[in-house]
Amino acid sequence: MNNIILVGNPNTGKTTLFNTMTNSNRKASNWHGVTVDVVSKKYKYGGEEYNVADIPGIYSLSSNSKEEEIASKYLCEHKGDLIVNICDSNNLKRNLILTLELLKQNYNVIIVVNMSGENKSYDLIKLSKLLKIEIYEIDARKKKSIDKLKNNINKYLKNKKTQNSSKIIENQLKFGNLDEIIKIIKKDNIFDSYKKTIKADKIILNKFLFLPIFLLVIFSVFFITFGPVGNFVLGIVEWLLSKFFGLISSAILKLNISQVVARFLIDGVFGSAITVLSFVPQIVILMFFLNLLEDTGYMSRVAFMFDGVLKKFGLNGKSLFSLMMGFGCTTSAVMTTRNLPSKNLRKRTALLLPFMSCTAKLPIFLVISSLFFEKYKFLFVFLLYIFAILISLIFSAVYKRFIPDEKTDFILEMPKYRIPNLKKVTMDSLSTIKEFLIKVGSLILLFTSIAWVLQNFSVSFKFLNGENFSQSILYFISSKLTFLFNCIGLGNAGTISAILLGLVAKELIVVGLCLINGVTGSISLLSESLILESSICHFSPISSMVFLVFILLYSPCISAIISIKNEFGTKTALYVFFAQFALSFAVSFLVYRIFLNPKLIYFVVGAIILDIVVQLVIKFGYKKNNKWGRCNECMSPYCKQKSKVVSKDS
Amino acid sequence: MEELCLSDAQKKHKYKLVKINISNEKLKNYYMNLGFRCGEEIEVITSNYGKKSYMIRVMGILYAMDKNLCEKFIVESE
Repeated sequence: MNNIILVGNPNTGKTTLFNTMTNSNRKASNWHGVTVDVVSKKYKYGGEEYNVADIPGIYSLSSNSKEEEIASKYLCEHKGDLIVNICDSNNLKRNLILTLELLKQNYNVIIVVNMSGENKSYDLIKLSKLLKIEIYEIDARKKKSIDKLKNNINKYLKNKKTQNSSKIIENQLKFGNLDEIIKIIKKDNIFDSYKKTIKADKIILNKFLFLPIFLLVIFSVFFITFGPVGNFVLGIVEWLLSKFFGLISSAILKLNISQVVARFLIDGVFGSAITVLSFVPQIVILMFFLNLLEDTGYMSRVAFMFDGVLKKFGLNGKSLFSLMMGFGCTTSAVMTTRNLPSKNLRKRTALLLPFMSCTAKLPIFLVISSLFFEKYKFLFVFLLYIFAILISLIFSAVYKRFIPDEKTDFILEMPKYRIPNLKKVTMDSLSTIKEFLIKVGSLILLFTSIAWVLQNFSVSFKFLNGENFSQSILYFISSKLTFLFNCIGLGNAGTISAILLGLVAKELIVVGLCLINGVTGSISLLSESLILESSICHFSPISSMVFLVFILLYSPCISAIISIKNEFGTKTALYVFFAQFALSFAVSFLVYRIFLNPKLIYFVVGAIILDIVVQLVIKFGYKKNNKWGRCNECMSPYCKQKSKVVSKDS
Repeated sequence: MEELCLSDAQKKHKYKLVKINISNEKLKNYYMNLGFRCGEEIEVITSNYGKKSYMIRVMGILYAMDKNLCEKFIVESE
């Protein structure tokens, strides 16, 4: 078997090439550092078997971040039969720096120039002769182009085995420095492929236009997803699923099986699965637009513009990519923090990820918003996201104090604006859904079954047939916690059961509510059941708001906690679990009390304003007179003993 | 010719990179591999809110770079 390693600068199209070569669907995007680990897959061509490894992008063999360290380490440990060095035709000069390093290290290298149609400023035939290595022009997105590359690799490796390897290395080392090479291969007309990007940036990055454009873009995404378009698609899918559920239920009832098994299959298995499936359209639409934005290159601009603001909160522009990924799935977003330059920055970013509402929380937002805000559902969900972001910023400022800043330099390559590849964007969105459905099919099905058993059997293990919930095991467990949840207005055993299920996976919250209320197949049916006082789990307008705030902020699911443990250790993982739970409880308590006594809002706002004023006075006085530094002994900014006061510079 | 930090460079003017004030050789090498090599043409395109970071162009490629880092790159006008 031949081992091929794909090596190149970040954002040159390595993962796109890997996907086309091996028929995979790994996440690739128009920004730096999407790939953070090594993945390999096999393919067969011309009777030979090949193993292709996709490693994170590197600028050189020496590393500057964790993901580059992974790539450099992999290259040190695996020489591979062939290194496929991917270069972007638009940045060929910079890309060749790595190529020369690889050649100096005696790797068996071929160059593939991606997006070669976009920029023909360099003579690749001359370059090939100069470096004595094979160069192929490709378009990583096109299968035809990659089939040709596979054929070339096949021929190249067969010929290579018959050649004298020492002679090849000797030939490869006969090159001059980069500038000399560029001088020789440069054509008369250098095409500036960034010209249009710079023109577009004049408008997009304009200080007065950036923020309105950004808000308009994000608002439009939410409007389309949760507004008329999303609702229309949702209606069709709901109708289809309810028909399907009706057919399945009647088919199961006709089977000659016991009532317990029949109810388990109808309510526990199919009913729960169909309820979760009915949220798929809106998740697809949301992920489609977020992927579309990534693919255009716009998100890198957002990272750049907000870098200064994020720095005030102890983050930097690069953190924004991980935070954006958090809106999809917290588990994978934790891994993307690897491309951040310092350990503490990684930790601070990861600690904020549970605040970014993942797609699994979306179903519950939709159900509750359908209860009271059907017409302005998109606005309501939008405001929920904003609320979570604001809370995360407050906590970010807190973490900045407790997890000190290491001096890190922020540098980020800005990709060119591109017309998004709709096929790729659709595939990425469907891939998110695939992961969602696999989760539904495995973990959720398992826990739904457990939840169904807990709900349908009494403590003495007698089958309750969906009746007498107050005698069930689930009620028994939940009722032990009602004293705790009573103070936030969620003392209902059904609601507590749903919250407990959500600790395993957030998708289980809606499934749990359906099981408890005996509703299946439709968001509207579930919403209706939640306002009926006769339902086991029901909400008043106040308790529904508190429930939403609680779900928005509480502990992430088990897989996210495991991911945090793997990246940052057990202590951090336990902290995230308990701190998020405590925080959600505290904020829910505050929200509940404000709803009960609206005058309390004046007190809260007053306290916030007072805090801001005190902070400003300290900062202003400190800056102006440089005498309000903190005392070495009592740490107070108000200490009168000037000799003890530490100046800012010292 | 007058030498100045990249953070003090005028927008849309072209400069030549003359020095990188980074003592850590590994880090210096990293930036050189990014294209920040002495003699390269360098240009400040724009800055972000609060002028905390700059969008610069070197070897034809756009980078976002924070002010602290910009101060380590010494340029002179071409």
